[in-house]
Amino acid sequence: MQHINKVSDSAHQELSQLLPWYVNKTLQGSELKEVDHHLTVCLTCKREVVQLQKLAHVVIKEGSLDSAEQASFSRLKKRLHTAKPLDMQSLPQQNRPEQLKIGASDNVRRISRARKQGWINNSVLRPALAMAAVVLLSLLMPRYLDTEVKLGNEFRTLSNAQQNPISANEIRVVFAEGISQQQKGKILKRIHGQFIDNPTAQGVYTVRLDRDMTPTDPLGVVGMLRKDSSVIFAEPAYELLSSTHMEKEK
Amino acid sequence: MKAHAVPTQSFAGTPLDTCQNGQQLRDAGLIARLCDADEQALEQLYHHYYTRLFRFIARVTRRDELIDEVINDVMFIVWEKAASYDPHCKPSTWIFGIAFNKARQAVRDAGRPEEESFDDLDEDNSWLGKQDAGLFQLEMDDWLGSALGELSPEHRAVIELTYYEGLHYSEIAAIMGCPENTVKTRMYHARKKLAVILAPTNDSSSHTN
Repeated sequence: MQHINKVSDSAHQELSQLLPWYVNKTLQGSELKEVDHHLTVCLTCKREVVQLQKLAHVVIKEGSLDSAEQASFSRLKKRLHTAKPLDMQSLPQQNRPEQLKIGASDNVRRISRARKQGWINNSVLRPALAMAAVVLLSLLMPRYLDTEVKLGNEFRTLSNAQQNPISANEIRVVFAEGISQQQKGKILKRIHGQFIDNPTAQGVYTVRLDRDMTPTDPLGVVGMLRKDSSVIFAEPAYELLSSTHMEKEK
Repeated sequence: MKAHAVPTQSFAGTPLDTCQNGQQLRDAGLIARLCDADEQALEQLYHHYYTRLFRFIARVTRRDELIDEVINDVMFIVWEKAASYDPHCKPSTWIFGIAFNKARQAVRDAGRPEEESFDDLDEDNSWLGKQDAGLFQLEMDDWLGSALGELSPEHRAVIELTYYEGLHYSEIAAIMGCPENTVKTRMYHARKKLAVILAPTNDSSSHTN
């Protein structure tokens, strides 16, 4: 009799552990039959099933979710094109799912490499853009500061706004890293422009456009250049009349 | 290397109903397309799994600020490792396996979160019987959230995968990379702990009904 009780206790223990999966209806075959039968004779497990059903009901209840799915995917997409291929070394061995232990696929690596070649790497682009921004500020800020101090009565209104005739057809350009002189020449040919001096230490070229040949105005050319991946910065080289006067006085 | 073949019948492991099987086959097809660097397939897969992963990672980590980053890490690995996906395994098992490891790693990297206070659980809650069902449910959710905070990430994962994802213990074992008996034991301990914490709530529940 004692032996029978011991067996039934162990069976109860074993079947009791299956109750959560009885509640979520994933038990099948003999396991399901055994639990079903056990529930007809075990009041404890029957009560446990009721409690587990309550718990399941609460867990299943949808919580409030941050529906930022689209923004989140955009971040992932950006990462796909900028990040290095996943390095298995960066994943601790014990944290890898079994499937991932197989090793990186050559195919995916190849595709990943191909993808990376097709895009400008952010590690190059970002510093270059930052540099261009610094260059732009360093070029423009002294002029604006001088203007503020020495402008006097020369302020202009919309009715008499003028552009410096000397610089109206000039633009400033910064080329992407690794662009050869030949490629720069081709770009200049396309916009009918020419360098008017050597680049600054920061790599800023001033380009004068041929008014008769250029198919569009300087702003149009700037627009064209901005679409060109070989150019990371392009702006009209407008100057204020006051600063031009000051330069002439010097 | 050639992309893996997409299973046409069903997946090994627990039997699936027709609807689930269709979804799993569809997702396996999307993973196969990832091997050809198909970003549209990734977007669809992302859409299918976002809410489920969000919930699961939120449950395991209990750190809102980590969820989005972990989801992105998971889908990035799916993208990068698509060719190593075993077509005999359900796509959801593979993806949740990655998610579990990433979530656990994120919790570890972020350090131990501040201990949550359970003082509220000791408060008199007899007034709950006078509230409407919606408010009661809200309270219940909060309580469950607090109660789950007392469990380990592994215990919370078992609860979520069992009740929300509706998975069999064998599949949970595959996701968590542990023996089936470990899953059962984790669930047993989680149940015992939750039973103690949620006991006052269950009493209140009977008052409202």
